[in-house]
Amino acid sequence: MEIYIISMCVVAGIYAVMALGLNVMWGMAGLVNLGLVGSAAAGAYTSAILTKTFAIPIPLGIMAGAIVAAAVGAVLSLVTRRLKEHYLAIVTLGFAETIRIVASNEIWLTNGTDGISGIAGPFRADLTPFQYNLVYLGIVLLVLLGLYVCCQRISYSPLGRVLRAVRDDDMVVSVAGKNAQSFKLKAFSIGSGIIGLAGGLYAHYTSFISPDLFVPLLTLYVKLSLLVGGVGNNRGAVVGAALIILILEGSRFVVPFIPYISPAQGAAIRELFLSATLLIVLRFRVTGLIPEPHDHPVIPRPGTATAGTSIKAF
Amino acid sequence: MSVLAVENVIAGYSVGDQILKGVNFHVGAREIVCVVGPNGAGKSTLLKTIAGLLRPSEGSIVYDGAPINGMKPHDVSRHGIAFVPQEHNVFGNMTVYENLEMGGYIAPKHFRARADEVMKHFPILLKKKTQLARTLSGGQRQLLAVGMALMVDPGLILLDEPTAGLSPAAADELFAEIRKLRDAGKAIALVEQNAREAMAISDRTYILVDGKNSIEGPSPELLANEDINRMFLGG
Repeated sequence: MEIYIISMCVVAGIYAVMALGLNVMWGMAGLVNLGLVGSAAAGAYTSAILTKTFAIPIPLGIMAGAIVAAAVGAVLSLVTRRLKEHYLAIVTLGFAETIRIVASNEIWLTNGTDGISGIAGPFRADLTPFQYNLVYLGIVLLVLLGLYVCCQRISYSPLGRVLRAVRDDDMVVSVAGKNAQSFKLKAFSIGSGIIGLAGGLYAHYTSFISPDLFVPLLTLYVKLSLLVGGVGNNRGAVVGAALIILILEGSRFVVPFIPYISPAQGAAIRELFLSATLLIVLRFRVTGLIPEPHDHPVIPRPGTATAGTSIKAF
Repeated sequence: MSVLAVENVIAGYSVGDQILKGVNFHVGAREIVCVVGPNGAGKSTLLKTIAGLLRPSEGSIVYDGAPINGMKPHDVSRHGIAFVPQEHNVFGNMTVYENLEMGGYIAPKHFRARADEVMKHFPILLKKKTQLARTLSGGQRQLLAVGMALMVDPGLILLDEPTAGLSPAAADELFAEIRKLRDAGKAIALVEQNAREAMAISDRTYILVDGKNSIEGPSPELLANEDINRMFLGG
């Protein structure tokens, strides 16, 4: 049971990393990317293949996975450069499916639908399963913390400001003298890179990946995490991911107590819990649990001023 | 000597359906040039084409001696032309100050000094510096949009119907600001539905009809002409 709880925390942490990546694309730059699993798969497969075939160290493998995912994201951004909103969503959804189908069919590279097993995990041989899970949780939390700090920096940097401007109106951005296209590309690469890193973390944790792990439903869970947590807010991304995993997994224990339903219906009810959560959150908090912050690092907005800068508030 | 010279420009949104059918348009230094005409005449399209949002299929656009036709909008703005779109011209979710920062990308080093200067020019922006742009009134928003354009210290400012949706008082105030900009040495091209008022503050006027030049001349002269009054200005 302890291992189960720890491993759910690890999964929640990986979801949170993916939600942070999605937040760079969707929350900051307004680019609806439904191809997250494509990036995650690119990262996971790259890292798995490199560490297995060339025996390179795991951190390097995960980094390489992130870089490949970022490159794939950049290509995707170039391909979709004239698309927006729903059209972008549809094409990116197709992109993720393409990656999955390639992974299923290029057997020489990915071992096809059998997947890749025996992917190395850090210190796996020297630790008991309990210790291993605990160590991995620590690693995931460290990575999450690091990425959270980076994403916070991005959202308060001039880059983050331009991304938000691109989201609000890319025409004004271009007449203000910025190449909106290149910023969309940056957002896509950074976001995809972060998601690829999450894919790599997942591969080395479970030691097994196969194409049927990377289905569109995963994308929707991550998107849901961000939506519930607060689009445009890094803290919201983390909180939302934790909440989604809590509901997905927690409902497992609630379902047996519901009378008069078959196990199959019980499984369906778990999805229903998720939908209900989404509806409730969006009904009462349209902007998510933690809405996008509206403060500025240099000039605080009225009401957000700290004691040092505004005496009037007291 | 004109700052901007547009010669025989043909442009449109789809092939075979041209909006501008050979327009000539000149803006001189320290001059307000006003473009009026019936709906669908191509007034806004002309400004968008100059700003690089639309690629002309024929003709030439020369700014300050350098051809700029076919350039991307961000390159055009780097050449010193600022375009203020008709609507959605500020970022509602950003503060007034952040909006000015957004406008200041071309000279990022001097943007703070520049922002102070712009806010000195438009004191209302200084007062509302930390307020979200979407909470501004229509007139203040237009001033902010013009302020953003001024951040890059442009030589030429293109204004697409700046007084659309403004109260007469706010429109007069904005027109007064536009004159001040001209007096400060900027060249300004102005598209307006408020034809009379716009012509009253401008030096020259172009009347566009169906994507072509119809009449052009010094504004006071056109305003005094009875035929033009009857045909284009509603009496």
